[in-house]
Amino acid sequence: MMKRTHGHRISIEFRERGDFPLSRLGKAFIVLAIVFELVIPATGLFWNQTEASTSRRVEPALQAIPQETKAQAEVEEIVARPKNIKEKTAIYVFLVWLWISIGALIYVLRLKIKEADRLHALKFFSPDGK
Amino acid sequence: MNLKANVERIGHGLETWLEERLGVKAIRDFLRHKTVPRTKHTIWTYTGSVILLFFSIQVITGILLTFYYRPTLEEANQSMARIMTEVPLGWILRSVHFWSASFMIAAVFVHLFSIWIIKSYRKPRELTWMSGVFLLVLTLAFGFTGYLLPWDDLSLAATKVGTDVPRSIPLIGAWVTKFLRGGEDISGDTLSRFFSFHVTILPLLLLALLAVHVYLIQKLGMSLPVGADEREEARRSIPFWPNFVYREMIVWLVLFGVLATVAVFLPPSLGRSADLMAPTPEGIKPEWYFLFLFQTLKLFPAKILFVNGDTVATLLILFGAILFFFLPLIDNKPTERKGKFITLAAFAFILYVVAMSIWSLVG
Repeated sequence: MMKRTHGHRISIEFRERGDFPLSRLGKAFIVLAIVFELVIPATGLFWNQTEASTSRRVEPALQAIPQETKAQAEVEEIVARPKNIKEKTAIYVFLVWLWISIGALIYVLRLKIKEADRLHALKFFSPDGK
Repeated sequence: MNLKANVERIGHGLETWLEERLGVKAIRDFLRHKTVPRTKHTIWTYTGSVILLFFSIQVITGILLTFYYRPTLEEANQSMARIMTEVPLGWILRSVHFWSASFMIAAVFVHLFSIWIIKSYRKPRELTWMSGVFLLVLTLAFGFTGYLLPWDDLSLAATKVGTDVPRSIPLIGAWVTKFLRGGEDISGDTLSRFFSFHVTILPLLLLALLAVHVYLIQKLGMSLPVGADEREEARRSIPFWPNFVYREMIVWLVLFGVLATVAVFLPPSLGRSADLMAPTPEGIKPEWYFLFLFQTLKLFPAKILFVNGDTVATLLILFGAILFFFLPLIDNKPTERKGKFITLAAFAFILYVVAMSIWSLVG
């Protein structure tokens, strides 16, 4: 039998009251959301780059693009926008997913704040418990 | 033994291993015992960490941009065009970097003005204020040096005007302009110099000053509102970890979402490669955070009596900056005094900045 820690005690205390705000699933959700929110877009950036370099190797004709870009840059203003419909859709889907994740994380964080404030009010972490 | 017990055993072992080498418990205890006052001004305390959030985004996106950017006359604009047209999601990377800079500068302004209004700079926090003003100057320098890097017509013209301003300072002005440009006129040396400032010198200076600033905040703690009862406020304060950090995380998440949305829908464009021989285009304007200074300079006539109007304007702006820097020494009243004149001066200055910026935009 494992020794009960501070965390266990407080979990049981709140579960008994029926208002424990955050389960292990909730914690796992936070970690997963953060991982998805930060790591996946960054990985996507590098992944796409590798893909692009590979396609340049496969199709030498595409190497003409830099010259084209050079000429383009000299004559006109470059407007930043998604390159194709696939990228455009991906960006919009990412934005929607981002705001949903933010909403979910805020919900979870509000519960965590409630829990932390309650513990603070109980003086749970103060050494003398007063 | 089941999986859960194994995981807990490994976790405990790792914790002990780290504790023996790093003393993590001491840091955790420090954070748990550090408290943050919960007052009507608490909302302004979030602006400090918001600046750090945007600075971190700047560092990450800036490093990714340097993978492709080349700071030479021939390649600067082309490499930027390549980032925007060829590099996958490069346009959004640049857009996030661009908007994050604006958001960071806005956060710095809000942070400083809020401290001015609530008078948190008073004894013993004078040095915290002064390091904060230096950080503002460095942040503006980041914006100024970064603006030239795309090397298009607009950035060249803005840099010409911007580097010409110090010339009107007596004695050292010409030298400052020459130092900034790396010569009499803007050239490839100016570009490489600005790039070097932007990616090495300024970040190093900023990190050093930031360390001093954060240390002072840790040492002196957060200030209480003017006339607050210390005992009552201590009773109402909350632990920094986790109570305050959770609240800050909500602010970070929302602002991160806003930044991503703005970066997607309002990406900056890139003009054609700058021509050093071309005349300065009509009606150029600097970035929004320099507009009020730009408009102030425009208001002065060419000659005031026998003195150059630009010289008078630049000296007046410098004088204002010095007053701003030494504000804690000018308003050195005890913390319980309200200081209505200083509050009035703060609001007047904010009004001036907003009015001049709007005038410059529509004028």
